[in-house]
Amino acid sequence: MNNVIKHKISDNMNLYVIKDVKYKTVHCCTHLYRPLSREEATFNALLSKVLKCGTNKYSSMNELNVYAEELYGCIYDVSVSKKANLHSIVSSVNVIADKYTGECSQEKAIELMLDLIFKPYLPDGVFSGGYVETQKINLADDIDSLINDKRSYANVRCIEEMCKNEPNSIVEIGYKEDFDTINETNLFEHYQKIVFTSPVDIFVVGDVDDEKILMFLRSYFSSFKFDISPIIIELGNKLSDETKYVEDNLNVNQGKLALGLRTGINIENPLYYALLVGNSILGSGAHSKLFNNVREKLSLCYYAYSRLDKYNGLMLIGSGIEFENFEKTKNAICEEIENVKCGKFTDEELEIAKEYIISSYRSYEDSPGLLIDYYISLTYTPYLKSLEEASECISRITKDDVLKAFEKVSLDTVYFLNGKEGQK
Amino acid sequence: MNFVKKHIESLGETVYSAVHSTGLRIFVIPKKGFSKTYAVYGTKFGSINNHFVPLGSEKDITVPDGVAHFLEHKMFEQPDGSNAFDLFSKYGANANAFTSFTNTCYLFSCTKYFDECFEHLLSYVNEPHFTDENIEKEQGIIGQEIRMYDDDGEWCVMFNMLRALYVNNPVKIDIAGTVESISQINKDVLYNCYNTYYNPANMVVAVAGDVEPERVFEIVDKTIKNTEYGKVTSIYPEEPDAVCQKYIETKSLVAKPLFQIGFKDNNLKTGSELLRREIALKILLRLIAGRSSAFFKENYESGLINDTFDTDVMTELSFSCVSFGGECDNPKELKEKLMKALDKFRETGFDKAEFERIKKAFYGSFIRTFNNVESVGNLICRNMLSDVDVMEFPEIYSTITVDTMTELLNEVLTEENSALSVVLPAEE
Repeated sequence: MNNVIKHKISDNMNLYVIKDVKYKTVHCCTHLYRPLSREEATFNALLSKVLKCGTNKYSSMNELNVYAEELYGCIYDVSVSKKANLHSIVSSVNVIADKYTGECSQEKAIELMLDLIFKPYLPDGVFSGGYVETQKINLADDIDSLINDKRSYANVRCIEEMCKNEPNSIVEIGYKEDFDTINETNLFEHYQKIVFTSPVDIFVVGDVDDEKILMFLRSYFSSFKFDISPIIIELGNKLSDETKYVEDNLNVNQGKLALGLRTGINIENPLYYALLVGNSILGSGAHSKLFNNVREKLSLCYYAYSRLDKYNGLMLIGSGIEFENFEKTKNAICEEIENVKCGKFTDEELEIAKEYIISSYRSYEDSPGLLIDYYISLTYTPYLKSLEEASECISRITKDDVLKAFEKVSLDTVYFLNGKEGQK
Repeated sequence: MNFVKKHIESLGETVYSAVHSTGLRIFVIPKKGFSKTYAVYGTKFGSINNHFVPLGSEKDITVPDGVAHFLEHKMFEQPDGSNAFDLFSKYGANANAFTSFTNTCYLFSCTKYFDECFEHLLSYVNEPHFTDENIEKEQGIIGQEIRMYDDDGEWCVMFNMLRALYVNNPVKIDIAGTVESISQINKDVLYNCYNTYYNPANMVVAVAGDVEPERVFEIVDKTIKNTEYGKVTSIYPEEPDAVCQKYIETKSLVAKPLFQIGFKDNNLKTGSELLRREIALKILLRLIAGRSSAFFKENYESGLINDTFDTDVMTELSFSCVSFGGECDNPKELKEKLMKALDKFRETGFDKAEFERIKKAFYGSFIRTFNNVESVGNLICRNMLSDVDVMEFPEIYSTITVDTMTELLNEVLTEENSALSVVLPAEE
């Protein structure tokens, strides 16, 4: 397994390098962390879109795209993501390694990634008003088009209802109702307030020299003055007291069921790995109870799965079904949850689930994106283990551990995206 | 088994290939240092193969829409009542399958027990077990898969575009069929299809990962039986050059109208020429409407298109088309603007420096495919099933010039080859 090399660039600003010769590309990203809040959500989301429009060297999207094409089609992006109580602005690049092109694109790509956040296009000392307005339209389209993917829509609605008044209900791409109050001046003020005061992590995966990158970064940042305060990470572990039911009636052909459960276990809990194994027995993979019973035996659906939100101690179960099968499917899923809770699973099911997770940990080694995601979670808590230790830990999980982990798992919210009267 | 080794210096990749005595073609791409090994076993049997002469018969038959996809689902059924996923799960492997217009592919990726998983893949795909009971059960599952796509506006706008472009070509039929058509499927239909198309000479297997090629060939030798198979005779309808209809519109629950502007390419190719056309068309579309183009800039800035705008190329042996699509409040206006931009290129030609830059970026995206065992395995399998040697890419790529762009522009991107598909937002 590859180890991550950590270098401190300055206070609360770190570089993580995962060296691997097998990749044809160098994959890098910069995370600028903000606390997840309703007040800032739209500012951060719109900011990420505006930053993607230009840098001090390449003042438009068009110029940026021309430049990226010259770098053998370097892929770049600026976006937002949320994990636990953090909302991060992420700029990323993926560039073909110099050894396959004979050109010097790697360093230029890294510089582009940094410029996108730290050296934006500021025509009159603030962001371009035109860019801000265009990107409000694009962001509004992103927000509205959630309904285009009904499966995601049902999941988002379920979390929204389940986590009302919790930071986790805040949507990372923001709210249209805030647009009127945002302009190029106050967006720039927000940018100035956060860019040199927020923690930064930079990740690089590929066949690279970490010392050389570190030197490059130190020299790049030498002209900036940072004064970064850390953000205290808050993970969720709330329990559920009663089950609530929510239904939306929309013009759809298939019903989408989303069950939100609370586990009381996040990545800081020693039972986290046992929960992961239990979740896999329940609904993660073709060996799972949901796949074999709800899909294969009962023919109720094409897909039924469960997954964990490891930062917030949540479990989400999803399935697409005929409208009239709502009760039947919900009951069938609940029966499988009960089966895991009361230990109605074989040693073979347990072993297969463990092997499945260990194998997926091994396969992280083939994906720069998954590796970075895993190492980000390690920065959230000292309790989480390296991939190798995590695999070790999974291999030791017993049936009793799974039962303990599932003890407090309880159904919090049942969301159903139903058809409209007359269509059902 | 004798094998051939082809090394591509510029990519740092080697492909080993061999042909089994049954005619099955095997490709191995060793990927040192990768944890995962990926194997894909595919047959040239897709949703377009609905009319053929069954093996051992002289009379042709037409099968219900969605059969290839249904058969894919049913291959997982094992004679002992278990399903083919079980054994993969035991080895910690991830297994799956997919059906396209032209192919059905069975696959797995694993990080351990490759030999066992690979043997299982070859075995279960070679041992069908269809019963009327397990067919009925699958109709419920696939029925829900079809419903899922019914609610997918992007899927609908793409299929409607194909329906507008093609008069007879079965590419216009939904891959999974309809709830109605799959209710007509029984085990005789499935065996007829299976016996005809799941013929090793009609199939390809590709493996990518940290494996020894010799070991892969040995397992194939040990597992694939030396049986005599007949010749596959698929029947395709005559397709006129003209499009079926210029405009098609439906409604779906989406936020903003979705559109696809399609162009039918009537000049079908084979072998290296097919690969050449695919590469050239992809470069051409980026040149016209890619992220650095004047067309994209103008319409993005005016708000007519947004970040979802994209282009697509589908080049197969039996059909070929290209498209421009995304979200847009006024798709008819956008199509007019596109046709004007195309006319302008016809007058002024393409800028050579721009062409070279986009060609270079496209080469980057080809190299990127080799970053991942799944994408390289699928690339080889898909192309080899069409008898295209994708490893000829670097040579073919170098023969594409700015003149190729002008030729294709005039041949493919014309008003008479075009159709517009729109999905309007339905009321909530």
